[in-house]
Amino acid sequence: MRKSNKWVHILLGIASFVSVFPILWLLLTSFKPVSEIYSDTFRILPKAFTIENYVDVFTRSGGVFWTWFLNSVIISILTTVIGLILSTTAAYAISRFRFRGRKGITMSFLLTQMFPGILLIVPLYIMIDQLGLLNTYVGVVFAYLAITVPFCVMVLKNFFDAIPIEIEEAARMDGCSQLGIFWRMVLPLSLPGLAITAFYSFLTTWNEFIIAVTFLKSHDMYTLPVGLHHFVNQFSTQYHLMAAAAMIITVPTLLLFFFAQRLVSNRYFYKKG
Amino acid sequence: MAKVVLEHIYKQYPSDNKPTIQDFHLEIHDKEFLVIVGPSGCGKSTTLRMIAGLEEISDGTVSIDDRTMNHVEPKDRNIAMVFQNHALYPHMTVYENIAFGLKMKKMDEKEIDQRVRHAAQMLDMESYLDQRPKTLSGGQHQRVALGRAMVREPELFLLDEPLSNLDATLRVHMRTEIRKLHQRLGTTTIYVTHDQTEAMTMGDRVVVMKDGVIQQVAIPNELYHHPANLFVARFMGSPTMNVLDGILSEEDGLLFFIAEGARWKIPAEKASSLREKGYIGKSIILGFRPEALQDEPESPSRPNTFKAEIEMMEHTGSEMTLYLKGVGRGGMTARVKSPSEYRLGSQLTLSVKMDQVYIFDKETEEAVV
Repeated sequence: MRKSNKWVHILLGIASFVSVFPILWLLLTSFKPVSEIYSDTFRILPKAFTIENYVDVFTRSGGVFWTWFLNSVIISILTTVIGLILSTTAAYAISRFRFRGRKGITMSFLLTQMFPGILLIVPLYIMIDQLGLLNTYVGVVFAYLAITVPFCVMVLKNFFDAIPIEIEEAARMDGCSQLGIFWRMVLPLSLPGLAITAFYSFLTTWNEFIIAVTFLKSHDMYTLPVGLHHFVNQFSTQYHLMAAAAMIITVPTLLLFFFAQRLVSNRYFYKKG
Repeated sequence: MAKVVLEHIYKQYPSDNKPTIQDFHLEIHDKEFLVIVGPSGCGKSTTLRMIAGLEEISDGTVSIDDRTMNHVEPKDRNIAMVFQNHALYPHMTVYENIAFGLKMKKMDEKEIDQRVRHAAQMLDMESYLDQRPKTLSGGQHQRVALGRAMVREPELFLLDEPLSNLDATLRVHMRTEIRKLHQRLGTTTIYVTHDQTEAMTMGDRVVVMKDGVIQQVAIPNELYHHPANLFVARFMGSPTMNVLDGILSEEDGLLFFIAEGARWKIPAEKASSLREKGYIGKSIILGFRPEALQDEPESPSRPNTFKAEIEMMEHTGSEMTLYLKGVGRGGMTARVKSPSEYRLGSQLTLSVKMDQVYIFDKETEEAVV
């Protein structure tokens, strides 16, 4: 091994440890009994292994955790699906059609990415309140779309730009309509881009806290990150429940990641050379 | 099969000052293999795309079998096109690629299968039907693209530089295959290329274009031997035609071409034609092909000679191309038999076969004789 390689490996090892250790600790903590979590002795591995924390998360307060889980699933899926429909069509139009205001629209998508998302909360809150959509799925999905769609459009536009125009022209000659070209050629050829943007939208929505805590008022409308916050109260933090709930929250994103990863490898384009 | 008529076609892009295509007027006969050739940016691909319906026509009409096509959708023109980069659908197998156009026509599955397999057999691609394009070579891509065009049994084939992405050997092979295919199918074909060898070897007729304007339409032999202007003369043929600027001068009833280091006698029949057209005493451009130069043993009586220095040599087997310094616009090229006595930098006296020279008007660059 060359000297420079050795240092790269050491640095990568440290970086991986820093990233993975907190998650590993959380996972191990979620299987520790309450007494062990709050004891003064520092232990990494659980002395006694238990799934009691998980059972407790699901059963406390009449199973409200299930409701939050369901809310998160509905909101994240709606944002991802609607976001993909909007961003694929918008990105395709920007990529392929020449129309008045095209550059301005592209710039405005870029511009929204230059400001922190929190700046949007106040205007979005006012708009959603005026529409009477506070504390509803639609309201919060609307807010999430405002954050995710511009990014997805920019990513997808680059994917669409990379598809040779001749493929679309060949399809046109073969009898495809414009919509047919979009559906049969452009979307299948952009699967990696679709996977990346879908994963980004889902992850952003699934983990989002500030918009959810601001726009969702009642207990039964909370999403998981807001619900998780409820394990912290004025006088104590229920670390055992937080650890178990945090691990449960990670499962869907992990599943989605493994699914999306398979689509991300660009399988179709020709070998070079 | 189809007859294609292009009547006074113009293409003007809003961003450009002058039209990309100007007054393109041509009739392409039924079953003809027509080649459009010209340098990059001359408008040959634009012309093809207008026939395909992928590009709007600014003025003029395109008709196929007397049916005006200007506003007909590409899919309804019964045309198949092969693109320069082949434009195969990367996410589909070879079978699906070839069958796609037929599926779009909602053709019966059995009929589709029959046509695809027949095309694959003709193109020797039967064993690749289940493979995706990325696993195929350049030549196989080309065949799939041809197969995709063939199965639709179109009235007209449009081929846009289909061989330019292939290596030299494969290009020569595919050239023959495309010609054979045309002979077998008899479909009217318009073939666009920037390669004059392809144009000369493939076309029944060749259209030479420059700056969006047709320079000449003729059979390959005529283009080579009777170019309409200096551009065609220099574009067709490799190495390119030698060109010299000079004047025509009459001495004792004989006509001479006078340039620096040259005093060459114009043959009688060319001379009388030049006299008739009033070129005596005028500046002209004289052109002759590399094979019109002769290197014969030194003799004092040898007429129409000039001296030059060998700058570079290219062996092409039985022949040899000599690049000469010191004469003509940017030097000259001579094609001679291939003995080994030539040396780089050596002086050479060559004679010009004056019966094989071309004379062009200095101003218009049109061929005079």
